[in-house]
Parts: sequence; C-alpha cells; structure tokens
Amino acid sequence: MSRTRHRWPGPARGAVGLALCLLLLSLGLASAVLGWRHVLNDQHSAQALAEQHRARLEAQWLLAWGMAQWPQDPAAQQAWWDQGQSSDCPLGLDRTRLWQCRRLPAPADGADAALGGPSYWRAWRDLSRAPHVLQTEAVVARSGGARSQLQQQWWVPSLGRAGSAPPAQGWVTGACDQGQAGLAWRQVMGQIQPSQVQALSQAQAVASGQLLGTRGRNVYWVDAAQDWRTPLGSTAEPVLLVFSEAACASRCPRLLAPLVGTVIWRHACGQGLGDTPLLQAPVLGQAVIDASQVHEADRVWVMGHASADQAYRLVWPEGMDLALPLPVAGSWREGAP
Amino acid sequence: MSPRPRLSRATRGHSLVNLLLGLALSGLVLGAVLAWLTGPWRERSLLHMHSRQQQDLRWLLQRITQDLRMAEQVGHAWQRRSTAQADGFANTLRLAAQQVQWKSDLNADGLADDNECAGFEWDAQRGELERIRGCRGSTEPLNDPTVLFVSNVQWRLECRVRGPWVQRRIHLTLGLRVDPAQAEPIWTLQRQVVLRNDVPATPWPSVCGARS
Repeated sequence: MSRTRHRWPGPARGAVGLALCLLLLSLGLASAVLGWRHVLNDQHSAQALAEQHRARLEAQWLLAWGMAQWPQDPAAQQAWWDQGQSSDCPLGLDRTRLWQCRRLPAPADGADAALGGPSYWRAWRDLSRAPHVLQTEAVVARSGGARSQLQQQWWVPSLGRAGSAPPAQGWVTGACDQGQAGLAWRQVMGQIQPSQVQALSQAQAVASGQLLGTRGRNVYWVDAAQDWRTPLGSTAEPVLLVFSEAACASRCPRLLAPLVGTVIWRHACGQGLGDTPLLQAPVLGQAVIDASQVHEADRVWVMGHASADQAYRLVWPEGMDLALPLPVAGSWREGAP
Repeated sequence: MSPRPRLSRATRGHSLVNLLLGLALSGLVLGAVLAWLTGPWRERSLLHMHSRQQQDLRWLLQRITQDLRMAEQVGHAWQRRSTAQADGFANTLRLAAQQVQWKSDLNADGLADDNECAGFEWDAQRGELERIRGCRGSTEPLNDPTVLFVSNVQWRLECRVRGPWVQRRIHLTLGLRVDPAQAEPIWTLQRQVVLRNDVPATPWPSVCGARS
C-alpha cells in the first residue's frame, strides 16, 4: 500500500503563517493595551488623590485670601458690602432678618491656574442678631473635578462691649458738669462708639432697602430733627433708637410713638433740651439722656424691661481684643460642597 | 511489492533527529526569552503593588486627617462655644490604643445628637482600619486587609494653651505591611494633624492629661 503524505499547497501555508503572526501580534497588542490601561488607571487615581489634596490646600488658601480682602477699617466696610448682591447670600438664610453678603470669585492669578471658574470665597453676616460674626466659606472646584469646601466663622469688630448698667432701670441720666458729657451714654453703651451705632444703622438701612423701613431693623441712628412717629420694637425684638447731636442741635426730637428697647438722645449738654417733654408715648425699656434732670412728665412714660439692651448687647468672648478679626473656636467645618 | 518511490529532497520532510534538535533549540530560546521577560515583569508587578499600597496609605492618612481636623465642630459656634459654658461637642475627644473618637455637629444645628459620633478604630488582628459612624458602634471599613494590611496605628496627643483656649495636635503614625501575608517589612507614614476647633482651657480637657 502506498502512503501519500498530505501537503498543504503553497498559498495555504502562507495563510497559516499569516494567521499565526496576526495572533501573536494581537496578543502582544492586547498585552500592551492592558498594561497601558493599568498604568493610566494608576496615574488617574494618583492624580485624583493629588487633585483632592490640592483642592483642600487651595480652599485653605482661599479662606485666608478672602479674609485679607475684608476691610478692617470700619469706614471702608459699608462700601465693601455695598458691592455685594442678594444673590451672593447662601440659600436657606432666615429672610426675616437682615443680611449682608459678598461673594468674590477666586483670583485667576492665584496659587494655581487650575483654580478659578466656579471657585469662590463668600462672607455673610446677620445684621440684626450678630453683626460681629462674619461667616465665611471657601469653595474650590478644580478643573480636574476635585472639589473642596471650608467654612469658618470670625469675630469681627462691630459694636464694642456694652456697659454694665442694668437694662431694666428705666431712665438713665448723667450729670452735665464739665468733663462729664456722655456719662449716661458710657454707662449704658460702655465701649460702644457712636460711630459704630451709626455704621450699623446705615448698614441695616441699606440691607432693608428703605431708609426708614422697619423690616428686620433693630438699630436706628437719626440725624433728622423731626419728631419720631413710627412705633418700634417688641419684647421679642427690642430696638435701639439714637437721636444724634445733629438731631438735637436746636431741639431734640420727641418720641411720639411707642417703643420697646432703648432710646437715647445725644444732645450737647445745655442745648437741645427745651421745656417741653421728650416723650408722648410709652417706652418699655430704657431712655437715656445726658442731663441731670428730665421733665417730670417724661418719667411716667418709661417702664424698665430686662431685654431692653438686646439690640446692642452682643455676645463677645471674655478677654478678647475686639479690634481684630479672630476665628470663632469650634466653627471650622470642611467637606464637599 | 513495488519498490518504494524515491521522493525529491523538497518533499522528503525532516528526520526525527532534526525534529528533536529543532524542539530542543526552540525550547532553549523560549526559556531564555521567558526568563528574560519574567524577571522585569515580576519587578514591575511588585513595584506597581507597592506604588498602589503607598497611594492607598496616603489616601487613608488624608481621610483620617480630614475628619480629625474638624473634630468637635459645633453649629452656631459663636453662640454655643465659649469659655464660660460647655457645648455638647467640646471635650468629647477620646484616645485609646486602638481607637480615636469624638463628636462633631454633622447637621450644624448646635445640638449633640445620637448619630453625631465619629472616629476611627483599628482592628490589629485583621489589619483593618474602620471609620466609626454614629454612636451605636457601627463602623465601615476603610481598607481591604488582603491588599492593604494596616499593621500599626498610633495617635499621640499634644495640647497647647492659646489664651483661654486649648489647641490640640495629633501625631498620627500608620504602619503597613509591604506584603499583606508577611509580618515584615513594614512601611510607616507619619503626619501631624492640627485640630482646628479649639476647646476651652477651663475646665482642663481630661484627654490632655495633667496640666503642665
């Protein structure tokens, strides 16, 4: 029996070789692609970690940068806040109060070119209850997708420490002897300067959108000489009403509407107090004037109240220097926005 | 019987000796190539694993640091935290050999709730680091010990008086088995974390030990 050996024709042998080559090549390519993907994944996760770390560091930097933008000079503060808009405020603020808000975009020439765009620093404060507490927030969104948010509160110079006079004493008067002017003010207001009250009143007026509006306002500084005819305050929300030296220049304005809180006449001793009574409406709280005597008819209108000082007596930490911004202990918070 | 046909050289094929020789040579060449390839490949895999481990270790540190920094935070802090009265979050920091725990005001309402405990726990046997969630002992693992075996965790507290406040710093050390199946060698990473939320110095925080 003859055996014939099967032999592949020439072209078929070439095809098998080609197929083998292609298979090997594909295997090599697949291995290279898988290896490359592995490397890319590693690179990506390392980069994501680094980006997150950078976002947090930049948020810290932005928080400090923002505080550096806040003017410490009280005279410049109102103009600074005036550049803010209501849309700068965070969502969820209690709209029955008055707020000042300012949002600043992160500087493009900051620590990193990737910082910017949606990254921002924001500050806001409650003008009605806590004008001395600045709440700040830094939000960083890096182009790589990493985000970071930091929040911190600051004690900022506002109204100083109030005086030690008990708020329920009704009338507070001071002698008008030489060198004693402003004694009644100091007794009640302590370290609070008239300019501070004036600045707060102006800020509240701007925030409430109407100069003599009462929505959310609790501090009024009045330079006009007209008698006051708008009822102010409640036992829950007492107010501070100050008639300035300008208002009292010729004759101090009279209070013709009820008030809950504190009313102060800042008249230069010996001027502005006529023979007519200052009050023709009840005051639940205290009335303050630098005069040794008040009109007999005025005495009956004032009745002391324990919360009369609520509008100006702010909570300050003991032993704190009120002239510098200081971080509020316990307020540091971080996380993803 | 017809004589065996004589084949031409081109169609005669190879002898057994030729085949065996070819196979042996191919085996030698293939073995050499494989040996040349597997060494660097193993090195590369090892390097890759170490790089991943270091990255995971850094992530762990970052995770712990972030939570520690905001420990004992309280909502409405300007009203709640003062040197005159204690809030529900100040001085809740507790350090033990295998656990660090505190309270933070997660919902920022200023009130200490039952679910506002936080911290980290280390299971030395399993080499696992867990994040404490809530005050009822529930935890979530932060690492997979088969890949990342945490072999050592240390936290050392340092307290510094700053006026009426105390600033705390935690010196954190994390150790990691290079090979999760072997006790040695170990990589160690250290970091100092400044707790950003100071607490009143009076009464002196018990976690700080005796006041010097």
